[in-house]
Amino acid sequence: MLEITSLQARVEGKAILKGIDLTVRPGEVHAIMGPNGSGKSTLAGVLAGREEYEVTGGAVRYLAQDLLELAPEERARAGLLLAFQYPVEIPGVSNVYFLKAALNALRKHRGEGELDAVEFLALVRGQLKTVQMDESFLRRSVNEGFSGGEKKRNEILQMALLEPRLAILDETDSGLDIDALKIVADGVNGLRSPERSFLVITHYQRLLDYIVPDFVHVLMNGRIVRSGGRELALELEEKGYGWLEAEVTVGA
Amino acid sequence: MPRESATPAAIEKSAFVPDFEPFIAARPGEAAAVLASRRTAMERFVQLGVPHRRLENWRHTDLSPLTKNRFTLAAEPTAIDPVQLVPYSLSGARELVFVDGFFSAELSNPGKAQPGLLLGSYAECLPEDALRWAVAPETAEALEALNGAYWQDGAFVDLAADARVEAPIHLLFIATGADLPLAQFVRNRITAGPGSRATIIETYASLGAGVHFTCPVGTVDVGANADLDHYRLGQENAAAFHLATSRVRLGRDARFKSLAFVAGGGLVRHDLLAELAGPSSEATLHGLYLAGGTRHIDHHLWVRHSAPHAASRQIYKGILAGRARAVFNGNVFVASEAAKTDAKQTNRNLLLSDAALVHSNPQLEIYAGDVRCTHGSTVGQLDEEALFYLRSRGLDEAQAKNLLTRAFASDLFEDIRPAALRDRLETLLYTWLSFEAGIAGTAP
Repeated sequence: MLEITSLQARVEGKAILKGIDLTVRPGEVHAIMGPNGSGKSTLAGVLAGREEYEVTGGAVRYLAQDLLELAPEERARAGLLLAFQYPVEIPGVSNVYFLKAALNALRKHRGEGELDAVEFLALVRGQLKTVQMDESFLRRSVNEGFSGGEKKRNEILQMALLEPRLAILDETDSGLDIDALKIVADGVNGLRSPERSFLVITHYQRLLDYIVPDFVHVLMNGRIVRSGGRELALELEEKGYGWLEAEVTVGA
Repeated sequence: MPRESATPAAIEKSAFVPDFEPFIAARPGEAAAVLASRRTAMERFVQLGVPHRRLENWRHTDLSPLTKNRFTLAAEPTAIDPVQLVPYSLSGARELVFVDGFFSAELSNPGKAQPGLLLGSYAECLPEDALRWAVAPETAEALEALNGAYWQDGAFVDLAADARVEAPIHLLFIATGADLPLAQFVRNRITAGPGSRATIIETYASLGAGVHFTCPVGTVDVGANADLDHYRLGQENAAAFHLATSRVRLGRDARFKSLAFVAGGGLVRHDLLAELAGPSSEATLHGLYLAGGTRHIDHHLWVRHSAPHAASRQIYKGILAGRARAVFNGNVFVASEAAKTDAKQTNRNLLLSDAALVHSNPQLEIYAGDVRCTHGSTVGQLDEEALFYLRSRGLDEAQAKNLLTRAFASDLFEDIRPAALRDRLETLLYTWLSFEAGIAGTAP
């Protein structure tokens, strides 16, 4: 599904990713944990195609394609979806129009017919329930005036509608209270399938109580310093990142 | 408006003066008083000349391309196939059609007579009103004076007290835009009596791609407690000169709401002078101008508060592509007697290309105490983060830009009535973005 080898990237001339290796197979859930500034969001941005991130080395294969060659919209059409840490407010564009345009862009690419407003509404109504949003969310401008929790639920709604092959959740848990966190996690868990993979980026292990990962990787200073199973996340919660930092320093 | 004297050179350059005597000679049937008013207007024009860039109000708009042309007036109504009007005609409206300056009764559809509504050709509704200038000839601006000398026809709309006109009134001005450069001097008068209500739409369009010059002067009188919606739609070709002046006067408790939608014309200038002369009157002046290629669009707004408790709201937005130029000059004047004035002015511009340029100049002149006046002006580009967000959801770059650009203008569409007009304007914006600004999107 996704194969990252020796990925290096910099932002504004500063090296952030210093050689990432990671393989995600279909159906797997990988958690990427790490302290602030370790490069977690940069990794997510590079995978989604943010132009301000300059890839300086390495490769990313995604479904037998060179991911780094693709424009952001081509990545989306190939089934990659990034749930934003800070979903963007777009005044003047209704959520329903945005969601329909996004779904139809994908359907068109897949050779399926575009949905009209009526068909789309029927589809989205069902999905709204899974993220416990009411229909008024559809009429409001995209994310405008949404609370932190509403914005994240809107990201999960898009995930449910767009049915990605690989979903990347960039600190989706940040700023969420426990109720919102559960709604988001339930949404994600409902989408887990043998064909769909997840990359869950988080600072805290709390989210992983609800979205149980198959693998946990710790990112520090632009490198994955340790990989393991779910128990690694628990260990991190107990000991904090300082423990690994010390070890990495000693090892270096 | 401050004014300065013209240089003789500006007049010499003008093709308009030598044509005047032959024009007068060709109007033997016209009443002496009308001819006299034309002469007065021409004298005023000769005094002022064609505006030039050394004048403060014309600093950013160069009319020299206008004076390089030799315009003539159509000698007789140009015959056109009614089918050509279909894209501009508005179904369900009371419609008056003018072609190259001439009123066309055949093409018009004024609808059923309604007590309290006078709707027809300005020239035919004369003479009793012809000489009543909105502004004395000796204080007219240059283009008003030029229009005063040469005016051919236009619309006359008169609403009696408490008249309610349900169907919109559509005034359609067609320039044939053939090879020979024609000028059309349009004169419109709209009078909304006390307590009356109507929606009036003016459309200016060209059929061909040839150079032409449209010079409309309009006066709008909104009586006490009257309620008037006014739309002005510019769809002329890229070679067209469109230099318009509108004077609006609001009485006590009057409400006037306008939208100037400019999606055409090569060199466009619109001076809108609105006086809130009655206490508690309310003027909402909206504008949306779309300029691509090498088009130049200039809006000068002069809002004068001369009575207390009145409110004015200006929102003008511009979308520029290519090497287009836009000028926005918004002047709000609050006279000493206009206490409790509430005036707000906003000009926002979106540049879709690096080569486009906007001059935005909001001005406040306040001589009354206890007023609330705000103004703001912005020039910016599309939000990169929003663009990325949309692209990351599968929309291609053009689609994403198209959508965000329409979002930029969306608030101006909210109150557009009738819905058929809103749909038309939305389609015009969408089409303009797709074909002139080069960002093809998904239809609205």
